[in-house]
Amino acid sequence: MTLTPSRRPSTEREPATDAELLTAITRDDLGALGVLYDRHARAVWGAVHRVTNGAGDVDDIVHATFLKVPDIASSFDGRPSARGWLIGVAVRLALRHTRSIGRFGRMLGRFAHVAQSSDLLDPEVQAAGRSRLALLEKAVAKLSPAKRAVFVLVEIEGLSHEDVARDLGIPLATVRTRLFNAKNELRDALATKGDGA
Amino acid sequence: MTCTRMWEVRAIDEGRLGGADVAAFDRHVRVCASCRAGLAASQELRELARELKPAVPSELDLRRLRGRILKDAMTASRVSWPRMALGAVSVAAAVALIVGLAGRVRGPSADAFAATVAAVPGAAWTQARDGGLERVVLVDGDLTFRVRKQGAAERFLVVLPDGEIEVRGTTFEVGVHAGRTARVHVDEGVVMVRVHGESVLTAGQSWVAPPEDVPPARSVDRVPAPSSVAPVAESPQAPVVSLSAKAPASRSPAAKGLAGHAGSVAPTGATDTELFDYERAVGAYRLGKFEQAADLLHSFAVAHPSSSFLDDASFLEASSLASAGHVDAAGVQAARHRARFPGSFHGKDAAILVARARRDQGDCQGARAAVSEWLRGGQPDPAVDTALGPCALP
Repeated sequence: MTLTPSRRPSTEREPATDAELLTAITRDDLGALGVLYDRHARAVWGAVHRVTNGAGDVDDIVHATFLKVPDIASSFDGRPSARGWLIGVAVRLALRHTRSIGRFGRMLGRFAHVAQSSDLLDPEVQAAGRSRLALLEKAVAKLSPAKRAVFVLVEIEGLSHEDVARDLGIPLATVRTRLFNAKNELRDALATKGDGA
Repeated sequence: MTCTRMWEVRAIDEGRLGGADVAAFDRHVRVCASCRAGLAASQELRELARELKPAVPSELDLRRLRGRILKDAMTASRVSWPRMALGAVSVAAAVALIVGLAGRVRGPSADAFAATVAAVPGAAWTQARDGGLERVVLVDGDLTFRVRKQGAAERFLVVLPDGEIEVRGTTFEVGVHAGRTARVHVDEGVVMVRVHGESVLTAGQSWVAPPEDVPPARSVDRVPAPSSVAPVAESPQAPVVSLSAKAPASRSPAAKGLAGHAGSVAPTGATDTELFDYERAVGAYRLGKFEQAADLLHSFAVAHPSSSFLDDASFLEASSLASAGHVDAAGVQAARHRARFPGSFHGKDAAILVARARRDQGDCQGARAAVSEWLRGGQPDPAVDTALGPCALP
């Protein structure tokens, strides 16, 4: 009789690094994919939700991202955390997704609703008198997906310009230009609403 | 007027300005209102961006997505299998011919498991093969199996704390929580479940454990109109077998709405049983089985009185009753929800259910009182107006 030990992760071992997990994933280790998911799914989900304005396909994009990992794990550059790398993959998928078969148009069509939904203008924010934060929420939602992606990755997720360029596969100068334009639009939105208030 | 050194604001913002240049610009900013305003706006934007509320998925959705990913990843890793199989078949045929000629019949190698098993971390299980018999003993947790077709002299069994499962070649999932089998779902093939009797499941079917450890529905503090709500299962021992219970229309508007409900609480510390019970109740709601959902949500509240899902469950119970047409019962449950969770995110919706019940009882004063909080502002509210109907005017 042959008996394999339980594959329950040992608590005595040092936790595997993201790079080790990705190496294991290239060897079809589903457990490693599960651990990687547990570590970063929340952050990836949050970033995709922000980039797509939560337009309804967030789960599908996160699903596609982690399913893609076994195929691209060997291209991971070995940085200490795979979080930014995964978010980059997810955001690229999200941007491609928004461009395809008119989904972007439908997403824009939801803008008016999304921008006024309780998700973005929740009572907590309003009650705290943080109307400028609510204004920024709306303004970020109105950015083009490409600009919003760069703004989210740099200013909210805290990635460097270089990492964003590498993860999104665009030139560094493009990252800076998109970020500059995004910030200009956001500042204008804040200034206009602020004046009008 | 715009200053010619405004570009340095952007350079500082992007971290491209060196130490000496920063100091020089700093001196300039003291006398340049334009650059000072630009710098302040940039700073404010950065600080506000850091304060943006992060979008947070519900634990339940994350867990569900995790299972879906691992299952699909396991399937995807075998996409190339049919091509390889063509080559393998010819080799196997040659080997079989030789073995046959030699007059010996052998079972599979002891090391070659018939099943590929994907475990959710934390699952406790073992896999063993003895001749033609392969056994997976599942003590606790969730496993997904892909079992190759069994030969005539082979058997594949999943040994559970309270029963067993036998298959002939299939893809399926099993969950064991708190020492008892909680669910079995079949993706492909046929599965024989022997827990509290015997059930045969085919592709797309699920087996869900009966709520044995939950007091009988409606035995405690139940809302009115008990006869109008169907029991969960025909007998306490009868497992619930449902078609497509695994895929509760997660893309439907109802499901999306519920995702919001589930996401509005932080299920920190929720046990597997608690999550499972809640998911089952919400699953019934999503499928439009409102009477069953109301019953399961009530049982959930009884079984998990300190759950972080209780607010949602309590409101959903009222909502289920309303959707099932039990307006009075919904009103009573909604009133209880209002009393127990005065600061609830669902406060207004619960108040509307109370108002609707009062209106239908002809109690216009009570209906208006229920939603008075949303009448004071003088602003028309379509949802409140609809709930009040003819009672809107005093």
